[in-house]
Amino acid sequence: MIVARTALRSVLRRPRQALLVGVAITAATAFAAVALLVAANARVALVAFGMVTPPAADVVVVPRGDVAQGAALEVAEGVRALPGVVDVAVEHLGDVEVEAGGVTTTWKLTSDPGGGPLSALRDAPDVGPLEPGGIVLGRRTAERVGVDVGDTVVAGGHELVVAGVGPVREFGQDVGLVHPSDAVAIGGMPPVQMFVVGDVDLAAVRAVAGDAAVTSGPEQRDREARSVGDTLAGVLGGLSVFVALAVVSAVVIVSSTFRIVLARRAAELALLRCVGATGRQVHRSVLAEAACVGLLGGLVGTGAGLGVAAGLVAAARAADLVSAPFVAAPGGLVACVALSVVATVAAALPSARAAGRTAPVVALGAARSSDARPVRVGARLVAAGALTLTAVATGAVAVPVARTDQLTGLALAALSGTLVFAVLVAVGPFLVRWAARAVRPLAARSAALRLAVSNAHRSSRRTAAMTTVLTLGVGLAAALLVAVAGVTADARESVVRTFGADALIPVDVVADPDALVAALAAHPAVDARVVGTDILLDPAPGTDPAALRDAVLDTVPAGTSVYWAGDVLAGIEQTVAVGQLVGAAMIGVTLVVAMVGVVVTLALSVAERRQEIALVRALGVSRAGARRSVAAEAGLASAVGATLGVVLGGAYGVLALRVLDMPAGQPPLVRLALLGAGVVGAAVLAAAVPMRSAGRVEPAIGLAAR
Amino acid sequence: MSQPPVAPPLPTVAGPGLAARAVDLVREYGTGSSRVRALDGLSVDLVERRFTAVMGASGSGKSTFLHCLAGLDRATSGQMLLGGTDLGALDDAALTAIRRDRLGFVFQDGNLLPHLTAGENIDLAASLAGRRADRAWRRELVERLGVADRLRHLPSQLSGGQRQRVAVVRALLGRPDLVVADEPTGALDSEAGAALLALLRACVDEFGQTVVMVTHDPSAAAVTDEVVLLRDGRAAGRVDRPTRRTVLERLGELAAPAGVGA
Repeated sequence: MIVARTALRSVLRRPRQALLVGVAITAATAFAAVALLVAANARVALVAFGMVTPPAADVVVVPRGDVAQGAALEVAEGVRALPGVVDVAVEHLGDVEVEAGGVTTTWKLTSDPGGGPLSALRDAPDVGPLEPGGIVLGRRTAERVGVDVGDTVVAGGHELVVAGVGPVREFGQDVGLVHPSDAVAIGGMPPVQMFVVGDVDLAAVRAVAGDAAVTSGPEQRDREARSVGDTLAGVLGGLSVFVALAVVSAVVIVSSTFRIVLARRAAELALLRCVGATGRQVHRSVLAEAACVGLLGGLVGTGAGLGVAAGLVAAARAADLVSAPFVAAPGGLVACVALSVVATVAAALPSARAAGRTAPVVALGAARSSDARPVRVGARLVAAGALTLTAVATGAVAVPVARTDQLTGLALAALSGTLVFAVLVAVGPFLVRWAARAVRPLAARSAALRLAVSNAHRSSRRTAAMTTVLTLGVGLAAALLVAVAGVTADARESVVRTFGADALIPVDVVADPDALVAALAAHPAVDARVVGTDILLDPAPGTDPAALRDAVLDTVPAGTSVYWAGDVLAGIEQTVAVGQLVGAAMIGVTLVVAMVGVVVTLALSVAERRQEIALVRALGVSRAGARRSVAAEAGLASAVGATLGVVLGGAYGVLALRVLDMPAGQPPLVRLALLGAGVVGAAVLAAAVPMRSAGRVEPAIGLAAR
Repeated sequence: MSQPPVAPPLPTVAGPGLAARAVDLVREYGTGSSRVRALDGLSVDLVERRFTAVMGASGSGKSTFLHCLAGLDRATSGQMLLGGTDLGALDDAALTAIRRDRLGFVFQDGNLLPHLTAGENIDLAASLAGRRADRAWRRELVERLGVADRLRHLPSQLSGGQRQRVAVVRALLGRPDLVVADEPTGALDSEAGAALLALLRACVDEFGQTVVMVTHDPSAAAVTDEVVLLRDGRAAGRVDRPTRRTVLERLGELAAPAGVGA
């Protein structure tokens, strides 16, 4: 009881310190909450987007490839004639130019039977009815174009009267429902699937449907539900990997800050031991304090996450991507808080154990501050050596394994990377000391720099905590850069390989290929030839690609499919860019946690060394010198982290490409260098607050007796 | 483990009328060439219900002795007896229980946990043991030591003298066999220091408490019944009914090179 109360008091009396210690876990928890809420809300949107088969449909017929309008209608008539069939609806779908309110834009039009169980309007009796010559608009579409029931719009040259404004899924586009007969008349709306109602034999439908895929309604809905589930699982899986990374980083930081804070309070803990607390009670009080810090951080983080997620969902709703009400997932939010508590307690375990062993005599003498306690070199190096060997072996096995099973290969590569991170945690302090020794000659000219270097060397554990987490963040970012460069190069290569020209037209979409080639070749800007099943188009010597495009568009009949290598590549690059953006945002959280670690560690370090800073100030180091020394410490820690991160991350990026069987190509050296330099710069900037407090230390306190 | 262990009594006794006794106590630190012998065969008797000061130059071993006496440090060899208990024979759990149940501490500074109120600090040992302090005794102590109206304050809201008085209340609350004070007036101004010494004196005279105090200050030592002098880790004599002057004289003799002054 006293243990818990003492711990709670300790947190409440020093809320700033508790927040400082817990800020890394707060950031990670906020990320977890945002990820959870975004996934929960995306679920609703994904279900709306992915579950398209009406509940009443007993059979779904999906034509293979592009089917001519007439053929599809013939199949529909054939199915309708089968015994037991009650209703058949062919769904036509297409992007159509629509003129409404004087403005012409591209709308996504879908056909709808206008009534009955297969209609999208079945649950909206106040809308419609939709009859030939009518159109039902989505609510936002109607708002955007400024039309209402009774107005007229022109779709593909056909005048349609707005019969209703209602429940059409919009997803940010202009949408409308038209009668199937109008869909056929408008053109550009191919039949995409056919829904059948009735007690009908699947085999009979297959016999009529030719090579179209015939599925029972329940099976199709099941498949859609599964696909939505798979997508969600993928999103959740990906998110949880990044949440886990952020949490692990936070644990490393919190663990280090706990060690610093408890080292400062060694005398206090020793006093508890003096007045009769057992080691166990001290241990428990530290863990209880960690739980309080975790709870506080978890509540703040989850609250912030809830706010951010609500903002994101509101933005998505404004963009018509989501229409359902906000899902708050209270159970998940409680889990986020619990995650914060558990992670913080886990982070505090090593310092709690050390605190339990505090010698009571420390209360009598001057408290030994700082964590200058020697690290057990031998055991750590042996463990690190074994882990490194395992990591290298796992990484080496990943590539051949990926030839037979790519997923296992990727998992092995990820495992190898995780092992390397474990090695960094184990040997971080040695790396820092080694780096400090290496740069010592450079610091010989400046007292401030010498101070920073010797401090990083002395407190190598806390410096290593900053470095390790920075390495993780930079490593992930570097791996992403290398992977993106590789994927882009691979895409470019494969586009060039499959096209073999600037543009191509498949021979089978053209009625008279020879005539078309002749017509194209006649144009001075076009070099056209038939190779295999494609008409290949290149700019004639001396003409530019834009001229080729104009010439081709002028020559080919309207509606002919022309595939442009540049467009395909731009599409792929856009997808890669979106992926890179999402990846960068995810990794950004780990980098933010790392920067938080730099700020917190340096702030606590400065607070602990006030006496020492005052002493060197009294001995003649200037205010700016004191500040510089803190900046130099941040610079040193981040430089080690950035270098390790770029090297290791680059290597794992290449490994990932090899596993995916893509050429690594030229690594993006400039981008990697910019990443490293940016991180060092950001760390020095992040050190601004601790720098300021170091500069504010008055020399006089250095001379005061403790 | 639901309840911390209670200090076990052991057959060996310090002797009639003795609160504690050191027998041939040796304490060494470090190994090899860096070995330091802080206590070098110290033998001292501490009489019950008396106020004893331990004095000596820096490095004479008085702090190490105090640590051994208080169960905070363990001798390399020899015996440290507290009443009927040989502290050297106890494990950490038993020593913890001894500190909690049979010893009281007053340090120079930092006696109180900063985030607990004065009252909570006073009750700390009892709370840690999972029992309730003797309410009547507690009331008497806080009134006698003049901190009754300060119990809800945090240490940072108290003066240095008040903090030390709170520490004395805490030390006395468990009716310990021995109160150990390490330079208790070191961080106080002379007036507050004198008041605290008078209080410790009263503890011995009025409550029958045994108090051992390490100090540098001859004026502080003059308040005690007896001064034990240490030099180079050994006993170097005693001063009975000390005065400031007799203490200064004996310290002067001790400081002189061996064979010249004595």
